[in-house]
This record gives sequence, structure tokens and C-alpha cells, in this order.
Amino acid sequence: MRTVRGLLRSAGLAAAITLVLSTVSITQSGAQNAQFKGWAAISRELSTRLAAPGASFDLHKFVPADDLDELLGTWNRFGDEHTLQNGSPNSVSMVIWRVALSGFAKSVAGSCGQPRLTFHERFLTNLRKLCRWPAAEAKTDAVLQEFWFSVMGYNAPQSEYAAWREFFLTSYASRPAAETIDAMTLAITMNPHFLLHR
Amino acid sequence: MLKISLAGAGTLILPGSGLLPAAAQSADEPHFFLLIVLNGGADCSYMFDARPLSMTKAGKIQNYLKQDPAPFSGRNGTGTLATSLVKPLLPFRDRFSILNGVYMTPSFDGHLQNMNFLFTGNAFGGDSFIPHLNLPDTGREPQSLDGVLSSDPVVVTVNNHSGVVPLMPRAVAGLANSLKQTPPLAGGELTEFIRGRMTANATGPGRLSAAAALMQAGLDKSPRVHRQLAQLTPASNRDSPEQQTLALITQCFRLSISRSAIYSPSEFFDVHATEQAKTQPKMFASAIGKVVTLLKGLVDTPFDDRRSMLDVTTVMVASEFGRTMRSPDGTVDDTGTNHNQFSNSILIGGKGIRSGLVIGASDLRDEVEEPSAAHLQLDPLQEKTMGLPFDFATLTTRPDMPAAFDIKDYLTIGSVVNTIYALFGVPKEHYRVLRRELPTAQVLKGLLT
Repeated sequence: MRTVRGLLRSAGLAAAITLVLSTVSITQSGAQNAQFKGWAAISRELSTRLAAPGASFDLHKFVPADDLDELLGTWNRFGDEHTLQNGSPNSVSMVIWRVALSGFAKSVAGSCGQPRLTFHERFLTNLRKLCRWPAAEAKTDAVLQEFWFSVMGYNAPQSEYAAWREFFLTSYASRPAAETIDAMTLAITMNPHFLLHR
Repeated sequence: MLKISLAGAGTLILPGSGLLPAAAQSADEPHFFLLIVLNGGADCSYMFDARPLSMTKAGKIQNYLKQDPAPFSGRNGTGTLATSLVKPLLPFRDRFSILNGVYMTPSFDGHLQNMNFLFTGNAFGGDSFIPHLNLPDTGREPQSLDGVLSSDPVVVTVNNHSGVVPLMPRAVAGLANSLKQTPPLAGGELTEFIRGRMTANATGPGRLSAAAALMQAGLDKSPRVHRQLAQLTPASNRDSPEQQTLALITQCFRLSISRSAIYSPSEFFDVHATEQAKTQPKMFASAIGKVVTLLKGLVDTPFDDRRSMLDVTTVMVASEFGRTMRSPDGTVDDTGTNHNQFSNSILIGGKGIRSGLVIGASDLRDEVEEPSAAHLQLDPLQEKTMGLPFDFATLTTRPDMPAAFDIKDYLTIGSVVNTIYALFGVPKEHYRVLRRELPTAQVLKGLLT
């Protein structure tokens, strides 16, 4: 057993890897709670759901510093074994998620004019409707649900959507669109159903 | 032959300039913990539990250093043999004590089981002792994090390390700059809504609920952590990786970010193969150099205007186990080594520790020493050294040769951890037992100041 990256970095230790694998089992720490999906998986999900066909988002720019995405859950390879590390939520990862996802949320909210990310057309069409907030046409269930499912996907129960919808229809009823869409996006992406493996 | 004597110990001078004001620390008495893990099972015979070359000549134990070790005495009069590889540590010999012949797991000799045992007292994992040092019922206000891990991760199965957070020196600059530009997520309706969804999903027995609860706890702490992390300043790029690690750790302590830190040098001591075993002198020299950098840094770095970082930090250097004297195959100069959970060496020093002592010893100290019947019961092939029976009142080894193995006769990792618990004021309900049906492992009271 050893630190995975450290071992793989060590030159000329291929034989050691084979030997260690024969005697060592790697287990994941903190397996009693669900783990974060990790920044790479979240980026991939958001790209799949929101990016134009053939495009993918460069969301790494929202992570505060190089290597910090590793603190949000990262896969390590050891021989033919793959383990997720740093996937257990803690105060530091919550700080980093918040900063990174705030950057993403601001990009969504800032796309009412010129899109800041290469969104696909259906999402942009709905976003433009949402950008009329607090007008009534931005508050229809169709617009809100389309935005929710576009970002969240289908892993969250209906009750999560209902709570989210109720909150924004009341607390953000008369606030500007940019502030509201920013908050809407952050509220979805900080939801446990969005960030955690089921 | 390298001669090591107490009189040869170096004098360490604490810096008198650049004094800091008393650091931000709500508790009366600051106390931190640094665990340095030598990963892979480091062979104690290359440090402070060495064997004479005559044993190698007799085919008993490999020695790729090819030097006779030197006698080394603690200030308590207990002796051992030390290799020349520990020479860089000698200026600090009055700052730490050496525990030899430390017994690890009762039955398992795997890396993970013994690393689990080191951290949790259970070969299959459980609650790590590191977060226990940060419990509120120690009498100190908990730090924001239970620990920071400032190197590649140590693989261990633990339930309670959500507050032990990897934080690498290279991430400090970007993290701090970014956090300075972003206000903490605190207060306001949006934060309350986000928190409320975590709360709503945290009820119930499932894994997602458990993680949602951790998210909520993390979110609640995040404003404070945010502000603290924003204060971190990166070390100079001209500093070595260990100096950068030290700078990060000491800032985390001083800023009340973390109670403990874990650091594992990149050297990997699992030397089953001959070619690997032959690299041990080089590996130990490198790893010891890193340990020395950290110790020197703790001594040289002021915590406040009265104390160095070492004055407020207990430091422990440990591996998950020791190693067999040699592999059964090949000749003694062409052999690797396997795992030995019956004898480990631990260095411990800093705040609260009586330093300069040598405590415990392992058997088979020369080519003619016969093992006890208890030893043969566990290691019939005599591949492993084993801790000698131990007198907890005097912290010395006993001369008797037990006929049967009884774990109560031996110095165990449980005693070491319970001693750290006693030092930090951890409630006794957390103390490790020798075995499920046995009492708690004895605290090494004589090791405490």
C-alpha cells in the first residue's frame, strides 16, 4: 500500500507496483456516506446537459486554483484499481464548491445578453425567457421546470424542485433577473442531489 | 564506527527576532499534533533499532548500509544501536524520544490492516484518533479542521476523517487569492435555502443522507474556514517542498485552522524485492532529511513571542509496521524483507513529551540471542524481531522470557495512542483497549512531562 500518485510517480517501480498489488488492498476511506461526484464528473454533466452539440464547457476556470479540483473528489488509478479520494464533504470542500459554482452561476446569469458559455439552443431559448424575471412569463412552471431539469438532470425528487420553485417565487419575486438566475443556479448546483453520487 | 553520545547533542537556539504577537487561539494552552507517516513499512534496523554486522555475516539480517551501527543511549540509560543514517537527527535528539519494539496488530500483517490499526486501533478501520484530539471535551475550543493532510494521501479506512482535509502547499496561493475576492457564503435567504435543502436531505439512514449532513456541517463551518484560508500566504518557490509543507502546517496551526497535520514523505519503504531493499539507505537518507527539515522548521518558527512551533506541537514519526530481518529466499546480501507487525519504532517529541529517552527494545539483538517461547508462538520461523516484554512502571524492558504470548506483556501502539490521548486530554471513553475483552492499553506516564 502506498500513496497512489506517489508510487506511480516513482520511476522504475513497475515491478514494485506488481508486487504491491499482490499483497495490498486499497480501500476507500469514509465509505459510510455518499461521496461527491467530483469536479470532473460535474463538469461533464453540465456540459452534457447544457453545452451545444459537439462543445464542452471549460469549467476548470471556475476552480479557485490548480489542483483544488482534487479536493472535490477525484479518481486515482493504482494498477487496475480505481478509487475515489477526497469525496467526503467537509468545510474546505464546501468552500471550494461554493466558489467554483458561484463562478459558473454568474456565467449563466450573465448570459442573458451575450452567452458566456456555448449553451445549446434549447437551454438558451429558455434562459432568455427566464431573463425577463420578474415578469410573469419568466415565472411559469414550464420555464422554471425547464431550467431546473436542464441543470439538475433527473436525479432529484420532485420535492426538491417544488421547494426550489417556491423559494424563488416568494423570496426573489421582485428581484432583478441576473441576481435571481445567479441564485437559482447556485441553489441547484449546491443541492446534495446534484453534487453527490446516489 | 559512528559514535553517538548524549554529550554530542547539538544545541538549538530559538530565534529571538521577528517575534509574533500571541497567536489567535481561544484556548488557554495551544497544542497541536504532527504525524509523519513513513509509508510502506519502514525497517527499524536502518534507524534506531539497528543490528550489528555480525548478524548479517551470520546470515540473519540484511544490511545494505554495510556499516556497523553505533551504540546510542537515551538519557534514561537505555541503549540501542543506531545507524549513521540518523546522524542528521542527532541535533534534535534532546527533542524526541525513541520507542522501540512497539507491537502493532495482534494478527494481521497487511499494510492496510496495520495502517488502520495505527490510526483507528482496528485492523478493519473505524474512528481515527486524529479527530479525537480536536474534540471539545478535551477542554480546548475545536479548530476549524481536525487535521490537514499536506502530502499525497495515506490510504486508511476511517469513518471520521471528514474534518481531515488534504491541503497541498501548491494550492495555497490560488486558493487564498480566490477566497479574498469572494465573500463567504454566510447569512441571507439564499444561504438559508441551500442549507435547508441539505438539512431536509440529511434525515434518514441512507448514504446520501449521511453525506448531506456532512455537507450541512461543512457549510456551517465554511464562513470561518473561508476567512481563515484567505489569510494563508504561499511559501517562496525557492523553498524546498518540505519547507513549503512546514510553512503551510505552521500557518494552519497558528491561524486556528487545524489541530493536527499529517505528512507522509514520498519514499515508499515496502521493499520485498532485493533491488528495492538495496535502495533503503538512500530512501532513509532522503526521508530522514525531510523529517529533519520539518523538525528544524518547527524549532525555528515562532508560534508567538514566547514559544516555537515545536513548543506547542507534539510530533510523532511512525510507520505502519517494521520489517522482517530478511526474506527466506536468497543470500543475506541478495534479499528483500517482508512485513513485521511485532516490532515497530516510533519517534515522538515536542510539547508534553519527555524527550531524549529510549524506551522499549526488540529481541534477536545479535546472532546468538534466542527468542522466547512467546516469540516462537507467533513467529516460529524466526523471521521477525519482536518487542521485548515491557515494564510500564519503569518504561524498561523486562528480562523474563514469557512461555506464552500475552499482549499485556508488551508495548503496543495502543499505549502510544493512549499516551497521546492523555496528553491532549481526550476523554477515556476513547482510549484503546488491548483487545476487545481486555482493558485499555496503559498510558506511558513516564513519557509525559
